Amino acid sequence: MTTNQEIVSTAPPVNLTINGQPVQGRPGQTVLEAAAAAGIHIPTLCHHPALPPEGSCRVCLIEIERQRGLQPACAFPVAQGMNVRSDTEKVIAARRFALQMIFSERPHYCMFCQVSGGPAETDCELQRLAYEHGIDCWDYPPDAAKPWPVDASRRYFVMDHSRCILCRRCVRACAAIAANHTLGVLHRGTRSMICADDDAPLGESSCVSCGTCLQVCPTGALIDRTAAYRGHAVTGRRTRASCLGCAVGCGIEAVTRGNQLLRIDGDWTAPNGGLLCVTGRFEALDSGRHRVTTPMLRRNGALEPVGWDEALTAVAGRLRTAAGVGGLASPRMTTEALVAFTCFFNEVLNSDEVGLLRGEVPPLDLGATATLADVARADCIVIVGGDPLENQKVLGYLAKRALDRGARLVVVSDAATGLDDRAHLRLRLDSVAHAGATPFELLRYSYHLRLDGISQLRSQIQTAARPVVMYGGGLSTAVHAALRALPDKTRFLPLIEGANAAGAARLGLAPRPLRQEVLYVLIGDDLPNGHALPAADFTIAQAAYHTSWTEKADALFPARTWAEKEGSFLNIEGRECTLVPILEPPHHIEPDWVTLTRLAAAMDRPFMLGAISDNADSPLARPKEATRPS
Amino acid sequence: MDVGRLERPPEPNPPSPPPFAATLELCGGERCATARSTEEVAQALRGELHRAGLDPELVLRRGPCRGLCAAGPVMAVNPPGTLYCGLTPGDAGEIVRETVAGGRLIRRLLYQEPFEVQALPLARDLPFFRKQVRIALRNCGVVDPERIDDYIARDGYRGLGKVLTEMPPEHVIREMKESGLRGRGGAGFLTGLKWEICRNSASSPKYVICNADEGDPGAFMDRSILESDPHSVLEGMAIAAYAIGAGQGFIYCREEYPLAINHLQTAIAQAHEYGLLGENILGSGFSFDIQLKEGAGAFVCGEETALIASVEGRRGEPRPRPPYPVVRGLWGQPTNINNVKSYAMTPQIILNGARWFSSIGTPNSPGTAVFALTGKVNNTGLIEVPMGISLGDVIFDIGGGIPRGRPFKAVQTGGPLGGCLPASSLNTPVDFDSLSEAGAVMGSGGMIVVDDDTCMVELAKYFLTFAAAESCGKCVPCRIGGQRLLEALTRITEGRGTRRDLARIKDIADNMMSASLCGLGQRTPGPVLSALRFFQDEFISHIDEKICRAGQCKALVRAKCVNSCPAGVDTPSYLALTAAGRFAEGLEIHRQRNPFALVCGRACPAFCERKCRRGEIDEPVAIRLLKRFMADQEIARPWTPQPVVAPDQLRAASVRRIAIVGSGPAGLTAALRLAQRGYRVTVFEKLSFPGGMMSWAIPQYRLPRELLDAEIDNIRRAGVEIVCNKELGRDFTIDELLGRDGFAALVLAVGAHRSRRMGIPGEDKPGVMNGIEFLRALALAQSSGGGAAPDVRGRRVGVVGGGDVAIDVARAAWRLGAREVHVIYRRAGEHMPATHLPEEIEAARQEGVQFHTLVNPIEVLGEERVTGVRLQQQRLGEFDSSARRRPVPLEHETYDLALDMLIPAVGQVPETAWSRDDQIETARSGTLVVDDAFCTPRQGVFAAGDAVSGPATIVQAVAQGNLVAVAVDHWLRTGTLQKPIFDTTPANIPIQYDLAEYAGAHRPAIPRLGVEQRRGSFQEVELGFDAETARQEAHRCLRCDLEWHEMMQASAAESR
Repeated sequence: MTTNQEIVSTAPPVNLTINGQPVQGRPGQTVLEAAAAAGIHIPTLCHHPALPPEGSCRVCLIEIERQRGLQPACAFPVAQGMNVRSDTEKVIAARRFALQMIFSERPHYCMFCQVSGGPAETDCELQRLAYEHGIDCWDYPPDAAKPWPVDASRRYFVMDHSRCILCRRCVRACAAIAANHTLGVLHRGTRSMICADDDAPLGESSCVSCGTCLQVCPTGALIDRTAAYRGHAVTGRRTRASCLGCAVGCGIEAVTRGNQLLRIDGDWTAPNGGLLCVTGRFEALDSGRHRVTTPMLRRNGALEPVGWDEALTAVAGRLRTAAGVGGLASPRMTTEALVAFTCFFNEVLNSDEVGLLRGEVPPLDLGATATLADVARADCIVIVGGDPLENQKVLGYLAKRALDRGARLVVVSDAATGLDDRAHLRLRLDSVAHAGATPFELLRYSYHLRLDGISQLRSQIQTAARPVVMYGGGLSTAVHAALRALPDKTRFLPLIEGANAAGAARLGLAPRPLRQEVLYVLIGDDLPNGHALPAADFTIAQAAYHTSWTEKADALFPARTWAEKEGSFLNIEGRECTLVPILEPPHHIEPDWVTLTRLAAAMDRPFMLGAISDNADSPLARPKEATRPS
Repeated sequence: MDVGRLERPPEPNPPSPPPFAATLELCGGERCATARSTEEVAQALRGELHRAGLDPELVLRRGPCRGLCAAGPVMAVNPPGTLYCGLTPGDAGEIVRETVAGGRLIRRLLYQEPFEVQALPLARDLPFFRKQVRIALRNCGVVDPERIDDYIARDGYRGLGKVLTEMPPEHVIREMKESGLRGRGGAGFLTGLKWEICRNSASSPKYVICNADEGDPGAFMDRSILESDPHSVLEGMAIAAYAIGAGQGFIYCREEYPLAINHLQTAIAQAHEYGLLGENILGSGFSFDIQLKEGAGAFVCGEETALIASVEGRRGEPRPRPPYPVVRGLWGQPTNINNVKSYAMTPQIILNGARWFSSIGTPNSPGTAVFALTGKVNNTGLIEVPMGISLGDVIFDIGGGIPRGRPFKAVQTGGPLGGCLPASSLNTPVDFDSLSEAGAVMGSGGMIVVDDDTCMVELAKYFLTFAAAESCGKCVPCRIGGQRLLEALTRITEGRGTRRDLARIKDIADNMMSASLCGLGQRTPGPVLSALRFFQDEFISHIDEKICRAGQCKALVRAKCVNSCPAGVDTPSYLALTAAGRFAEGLEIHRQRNPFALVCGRACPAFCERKCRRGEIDEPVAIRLLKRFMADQEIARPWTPQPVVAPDQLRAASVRRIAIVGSGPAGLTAALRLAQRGYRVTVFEKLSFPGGMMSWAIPQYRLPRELLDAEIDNIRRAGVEIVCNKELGRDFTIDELLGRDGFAALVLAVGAHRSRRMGIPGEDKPGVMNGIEFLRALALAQSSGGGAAPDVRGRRVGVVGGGDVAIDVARAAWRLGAREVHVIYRRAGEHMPATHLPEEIEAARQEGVQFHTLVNPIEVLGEERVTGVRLQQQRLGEFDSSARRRPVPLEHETYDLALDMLIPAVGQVPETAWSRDDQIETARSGTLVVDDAFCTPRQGVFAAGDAVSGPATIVQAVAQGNLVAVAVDHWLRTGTLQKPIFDTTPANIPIQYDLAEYAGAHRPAIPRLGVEQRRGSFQEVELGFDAETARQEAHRCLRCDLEWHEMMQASAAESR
């Protein structure tokens, strides 16, 4: 069977007219798409470009010559010679009727709704259409007395059914984008309600709080608790950046207003295609943490705020006298900060005792690296020793999307994973290898025991056209050997933990045990999550928030949060993701590398970052602000 | 063959069980209404067969549904192939003894036509079957659905064999296209064309699906085929699969059809066993398998894309098309979906050829249509008719007409998404295009007939409730529009509707039809729109007058008797008071809305009795005679009508004078009501005595003159002046009344007194006298004014017509000594308009009047005077707008009837010679044109009664008199014209007897003067009840009004 894309690329264009204007479309395109490409605006409501067409709101109805009734532009495919009108009296009357009907169904009292606003600033697509069509009163007044439930059982968002227009964008997003299938429609006809699972409160449902439903909701039915009542998104500032929540490196669009982060949307144009996880969309906005605002020094057992000069002098003095200094950086650090940190140790402290707080990277030598798109398109997915749904959630959702399209899933793991119930084949790690096995032994093994795990795994991959293997760290060499022996068409994706662990690994930084007199930790906005720092006589920390880590520090420098940072990091695909400052940092909090260079200066040992970046192999091998010493 | 005796089969050797002459096949619908009683009959028969030493297994079989459900349980007796109907367990013994063992038919169990005297022994002779052509149903009731051999013996699977061995797929498709078969699911798309598109779709695999998700209420066409002949569907699907190149088929059957599913499973297994399904069918290399999918009963799953979603395991909802399923269907693959009936017809088309099939039906809709005929029709059941047969033929010939001879009102075709068609559409051919042109749809085959007890607003609401509840909720117009539509209709049926609601209904309906996603939403407004199109008056009367004429909308109907009374007389209250002996109070209530209790107690057609709910239990309460009894008790105490408005209003009105022209029931009632509102009223009457048609068109044997005079005197006592011998146009003009005479307003209640002409040669010969003239002359002769009564003594009198005037003339002529009296009527006897007084016709027959029906006079014979009339025989042709078959002359079938006198009474129109210069308009029918407020185009001149409505009844004229008075009063007080409402506060008389005590009481016979005493006498024929009979009878009233009072109190409490 040919796919749509193939048709699109080879078939000749389709000529049609819309409102008398000649338009050229491509086969497989809808009238709406062809019209949009030609700059003809056809209003829509249930339609969303990222979602499969629904054709249910009937706002985009058009008249097509020789077609009975009116047809939805969002779903009707273009055809040669088609004559379309979207501007006739009948079309406009039908559109107004649809809007009037929607307004009559539930109490859409705009003045009480947080997305409501004037014609230029409303976040509500329904209200915007009402403005556009001059609907300023109810032809069919809604029954105001009828109460509609509000589901506030989720931490980050609320579902208010009185504002729901049943466009089902959320249902489609939950199914087609997040592949989670939590949302559905309960009952039928006028009793229809959006529901989670079998009518469970969202908080008790299988919802994973990815928030994609919020991002597509055209009205105020799905309300982001953080953003609610803090201003209109359409008039806010939108910044395209990357999420630093994990190593997937999702593209985001941050909405800010007055240097406050209102909301984070998934970037539709990024490889994650608008999809985010709870961490990226909501937890990043969770501002309950206590910010480190000034340098601090421990005096009489307690950390006390001090001036920059005093802190730098004190730390420089301590470093100068130290017998040994070790450095640990968070894998959430940008590559630029990690480079500066490494240079600081190598050149200023003449030490190579530098490593990561955590974030081991599995070997990257198994074969061609898969992209996120490869995962979503895969027809066979193998997960070995990891759980993307736990640690690389968006990757897990993309894998589920592939499964929805009929991909087969093999899970090779000794621990339970979130995808076990979708697995077509479930294997234990030792069934694909055993301790000490060489590739040769494995080969023999698979010959003689055809029913063994490795042969089953191989046969799954062999029958697939686009297999992807995702693998975690800490696998035995035998398992790695077995994976390396998989057919060439296989693409591999390491399940890296720690946002920039891959970038760190490329710099030669890895988690390591340290035992030094002085410990320098580059924490940034990372959280300990149960990890303890190694013991040292004197601990210097560079952190954005007060945590259990900073409690142990003897000297503390403030740092910027991810939203204030500029720089880059390498994601699991090995793709460089860019951090763009979304918010203005507090004026006296410097980038990490600036603090380090100032410290070096205080030690009278200034260092040049440019030397590293001149190296063509370096991840910094492009002009950067950071290359200019301050 | 003599059906009274069955031939015994030859008996070579005496077998061990006793011989039997017939086998029995009892209908066996598992879930039909008669299922329980059918099972009881089966039990009884088994028992009796055992007792007779016969093996029940050999003799008795449970067969399929035969469609004749109204007469169920039904049993076939083979040979000779006859039907026993309406069986009870008590019949079992006789059946076994007489029919099974004795070979004799039992006449009383044979099917009997409602209007025929003769029983019809052979099943194929029943009119129910005679006009049917069975293709889809050909095996239903004939083969055992659980035995593939039965099917094969009836040419089963020969069609499949033929295509597999002789026909390349392209030929199959060509044959189907040439047959012209249109999809029987309702949309009517060309089946062959659909197959072709599917075959030409590039992708594979392909699928065929049978849509057996039959969800229309009251429709069971597909179920019957699946239950009775599942193999025909399997074979049709296999042929389709071969033609389009599919290897897998699905039957999507609703789970509410357990027997169908059961039989399908059996059939699929048997077809597998015989190699007719599965791998390499008949060694042809063609492989095809069928899987059964059960639907969960969502109506929308009958829509093909929703059905596909459901088969795939998703929520059953439609999606926009294109792409159509033939291109992208099940799992994105080309899929052919047809209805059960389409597949069931396919093997027959293949076997008998496209030409055979297209020779049946009409050119654009070849073949047959299968209908489930239900509702108010005598023969409910399943029928298959050639396309193109008229709706009337289906309803009246196959369906046997409307039960109890009630008037046909409408037929809903196409199920809950179809449309209703009125009587004027009865000649519409049943086919895809004609039905949609007429405003309904073919649909999948539901046909529901309703009579005049059905409110069309309520019916539309009923269908809409169904459609709205079955909306999947996906698209906005259907989900919300359907609900808003339902709310608007609900408001109307509850009396809260406004004209704005009508506009809303049209707006929503139009948009739903053009903007909904699937056929369900597009067709949901169908019933409402067709009801609005054909029955808009009913909507308007619900909205403006708060009246539901059919008596169905509970909030608007106090009791059916009150509702059906044109004057809205509070019947239950006066019956209750009569039962309690409080006659004066009862009469007071009656007079609030109708001052002519004595008259109407004798000469009212009593619309109330025909709607009386007691009549649904045993017989209607004798309301008219109770009214007569009540009024008679008070004759001695003359009534002085009292004012009905406040003193200051009376005073204001007393300066105004109002003239009323005509002293019939409309004029006198209007005069009374205006007098009660304080006006000074003068009534002008052209004859020498008042009363209008009450006084002279109703002969004295029906209405004694002194009683009428008593009630006219009542009206005089209200202050009304009646001036006789004054005729409009002769003695005065409208200008004079309004100018010179100073009348503030004028009501024309001149009646309809001018006879229509027959329009035949010789009509003006001596000896021809029209009916109105005859009755007037008779009345004048009998009044103090004198004059000669028409001399008919010893003569042969012919009366032409079938209305009340014709019957009155005939009976009066007989009383005056006519030798022979003949009533000549062009239609069938049961269609006489006078049938609303059936006892009149019956009485005329008893008195010796001869009726000639289906004949029409074409020439009056005679040189000088009438010597006879030439009559032309008529046959019944197409239906007219009154749902009666129009008489069509039989060109050469004439005969002469010798007569001395001919009295045409073929209808009357108002006398309007006076109107020429008075700005008064007349309609084409001759009646006066008035607006909603009964006002003529001339300001201050109102009109009411027969002059406006055409010939009607006294009580209808009274109703108009009430209304015109309100309209005149309103105009005089405010200067504006408004549609009047004659409002009186309903009484709420508590019930003071135990209804249960009168449960067994029956309506008494009406005491009448003996026929021998009537000749030559104009003495009243009907005699009243005696006191005890009246008291008893009054207690039979079920007091339906109390329920309404309770409902109103409850809703008032709720709104508080």
